[in-house]
Amino acid sequence: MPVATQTFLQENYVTLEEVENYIFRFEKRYGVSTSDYLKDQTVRSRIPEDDAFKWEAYIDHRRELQRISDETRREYLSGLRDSKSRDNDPAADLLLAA
Amino acid sequence: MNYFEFKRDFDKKRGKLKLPTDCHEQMPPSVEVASQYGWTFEWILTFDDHKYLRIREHHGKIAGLLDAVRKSFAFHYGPITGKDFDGNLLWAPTDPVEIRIDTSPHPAHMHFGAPEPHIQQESVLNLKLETISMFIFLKAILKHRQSGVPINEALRFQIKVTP
Repeated sequence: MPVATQTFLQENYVTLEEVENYIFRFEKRYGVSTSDYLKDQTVRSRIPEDDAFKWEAYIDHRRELQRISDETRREYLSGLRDSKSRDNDPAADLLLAA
Repeated sequence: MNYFEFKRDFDKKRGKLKLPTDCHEQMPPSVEVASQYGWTFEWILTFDDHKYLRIREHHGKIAGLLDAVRKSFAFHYGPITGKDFDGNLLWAPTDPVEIRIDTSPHPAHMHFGAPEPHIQQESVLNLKLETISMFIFLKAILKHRQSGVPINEALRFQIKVTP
């Protein structure tokens, strides 16, 4: 039995690239794009439940990883903007000198 | 519930669970984590009498909230029908099943004693399919195996017979 800091779970942290790859494999296996799979109920009903479960989980993971990636980019850019405006601000120079 | 809460809850319940000696982890509880708001869980147990139990859950972010919800799941118990070259269990929708509760397709429904029909919630009394937890399911199967109590009694549900 694991000690307090350990876990029974075998954890695998997936990246956006890995998830994209898994999704691509499903698209290739069934010869259908993810958007067609999601839109077309008849396409969806042809996919075995097992694969449908995994495919949809990866689509959801992709959405989440993209959200995080967008958020990180936004925060980085806003950080850049803030540091630029600080660079152009004479008051900031005075503050630095002080 | 976020991933850390899920993990804490799982470890607590798994720690209290004693698996019988004829039960083996074909696949240990495994999880693919995208973030604290998105993860997919899988766990496969096999039994010496060639039956297996598989638990799968996918949790995803609730739009607009910093929280996650179980979006899909499949709890399956039935005979092993085959294995691939690597020893992985083979599965097909037409396989015999003792019980399966899943959300493929939504909403949550049950297969009981046979792959067909899909038994919808309105025909299942005393058991909320959408919110059933993996440990409730697992413990009921272990009780059924240990004592011979029928699965529906172990899970305390009845199927409504429509004329």
